[in-house]
Amino acid sequence: MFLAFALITLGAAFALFMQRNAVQAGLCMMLSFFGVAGLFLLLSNPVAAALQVIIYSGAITILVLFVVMLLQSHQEEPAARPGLVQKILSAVLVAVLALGAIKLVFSSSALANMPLEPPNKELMTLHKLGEQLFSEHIVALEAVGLLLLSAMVAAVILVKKEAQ
Amino acid sequence: MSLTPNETAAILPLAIPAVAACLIPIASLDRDQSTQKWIRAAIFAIAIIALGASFWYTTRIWGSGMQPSYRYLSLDRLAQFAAIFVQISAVYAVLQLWDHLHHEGWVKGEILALLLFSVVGMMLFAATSNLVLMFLALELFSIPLYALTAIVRVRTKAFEGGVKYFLTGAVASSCFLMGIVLLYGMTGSFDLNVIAQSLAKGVLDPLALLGAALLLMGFVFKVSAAPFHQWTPDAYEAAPHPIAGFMSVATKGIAIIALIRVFGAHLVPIAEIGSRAQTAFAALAVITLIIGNLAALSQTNFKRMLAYSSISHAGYLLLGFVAGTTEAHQAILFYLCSYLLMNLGAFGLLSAFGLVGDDTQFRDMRGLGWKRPGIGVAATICFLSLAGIPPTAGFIGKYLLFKELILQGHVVLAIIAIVASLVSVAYYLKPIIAMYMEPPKEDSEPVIAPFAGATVLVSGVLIIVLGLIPGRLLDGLVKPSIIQVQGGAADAEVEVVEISLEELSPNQLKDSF
Repeated sequence: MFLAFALITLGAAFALFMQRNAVQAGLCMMLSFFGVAGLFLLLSNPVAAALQVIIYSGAITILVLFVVMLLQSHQEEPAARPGLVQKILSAVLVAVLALGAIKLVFSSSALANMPLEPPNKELMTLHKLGEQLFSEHIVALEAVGLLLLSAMVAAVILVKKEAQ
Repeated sequence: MSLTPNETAAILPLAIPAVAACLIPIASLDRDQSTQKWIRAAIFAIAIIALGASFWYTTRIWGSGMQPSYRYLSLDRLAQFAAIFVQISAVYAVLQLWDHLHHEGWVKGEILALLLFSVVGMMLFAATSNLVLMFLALELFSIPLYALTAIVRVRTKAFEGGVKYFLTGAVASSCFLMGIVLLYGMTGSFDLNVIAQSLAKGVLDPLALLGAALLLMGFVFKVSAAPFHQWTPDAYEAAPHPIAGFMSVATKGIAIIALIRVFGAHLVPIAEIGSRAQTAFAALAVITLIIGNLAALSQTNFKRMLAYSSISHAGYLLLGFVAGTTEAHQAILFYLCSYLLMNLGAFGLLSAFGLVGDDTQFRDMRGLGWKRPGIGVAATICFLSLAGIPPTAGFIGKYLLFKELILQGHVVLAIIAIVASLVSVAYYLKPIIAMYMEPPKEDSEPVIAPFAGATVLVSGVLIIVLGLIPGRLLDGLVKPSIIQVQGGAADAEVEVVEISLEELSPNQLKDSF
């Protein structure tokens, strides 16, 4: 199960990069987000999985697709082709980084000793989540509110047409 | 939900600018703001009053010796220092913006709203030891700054600089976030105290080390130290001058202060992280000093020169972390105070001389020193202070840092830093030469920039005052901030919070306010 979801996530993410058509790339992104949602389910965290599907696979992907369609640039302009040396270099770099990460994960003793069961399973309900958000993490919640507002103000002022 | 006075005291310094930031976009909806001066003045007044009120409130808290806290927001001494630091630089920026935006012909109220959002984010960034909240605060102060960089759309390079800053900033944010995730995975907590305690036990896991390294990378980017500095010249060149000054001072300052909290007070005491972090800091500092100073030498664009100079100042500040003692942290904070004055003074000079556009060369300022003697002298003081020449505040800052470095046995590093600051004299003399030794342009009409001019003058005076009598600032503001955070390792910090909760009854609070 884990392998299936992990492969879906990674494969879709890889396809996202290789895709030249922006709409199809957006659909690949959605698939990748579904894979992550599956991983959350395996971790016995249905709330996170549901939020992942609703917010990422639903809202964000749809928004991205809308933007792509509004801009009407389905076909990306062909970028300058990377040279062979660049290709080999980047491939080697990626391979080294990936191997390093895998080696790190396997050499980590703390990771091997980690319990399989989550310590506080009962926290993972919507009810508890809301309670936590509005009591313990209230400052963070307010900060997120300000963050979204500031991002909106920034976006509006950057694209607003001049009156003249 | 009811709040105790202690909790209110923790929230208010952040809430005041936040509310003002929400009000300003409403005020600037008025279409007449481009024609009616009083509407623009009202918008700027809201910003100044909010910053002033927040500053006044924070200084009152400082004066009463309280360390109020609310949930994960804890306004301890270091956070109060950071808040005051950010508020002062924001006031500088707002005053200079009034003049600069009028010269540029692009006055928009929303610019101030974004600036205030950024201020709130910075204050929050330094006032928490919860990593999630820290990340949110990082985004809260970064995202408005990305937009502010590109905001004057009449400039050709504005958009380019903004996008560059945004993309590199996004990479840095994700590094920071990945670091948090790894540390959480290894310790099961987002709280720095708990993380430090649980990492101190037993053998250090390589994944935790990687987490700390990624976290450091995020910080280094915000400090704009090499090799994560490439965004700096482009972003500063694109941004309006006061915003560039604010970015160079407040972003760097707040990242350094948070670095003191995260690494200086919590992670470095863990031996296995500490030794590696020290090596990393030393390497980063040396690369930054070399790249920053050499690149600054060859600039003809005034703002790019200041950008590289701000990179090299990041190098000096990082040297303080190599020494890593309480005194070194105090020296860092003092250096930041002097850096605030001299760098905002230097950026303010651009607004005071009424230079617009994104290509401001040294030759644009030729002869202006004679024409505007007061500002010329004050700016000269700022540049001499940036170069570290006595009797300025910049000299004292460098002296304190290098002394601590030598006392800790890092003589080679100190020599490199001294050579670097000697090299820096060469490029700080360029604007002075342009101002005084070159013939002025004939045509120019007088520039009206009362506020920007005033900020430069105030900077000049304060730099000299601080350079002659540094003791007051050191004992009054800098030393208390660091003693508290150093004593705040794990148990002690919990104790402090409890005491302040019990001891400060509502009546006492009323007395102190």
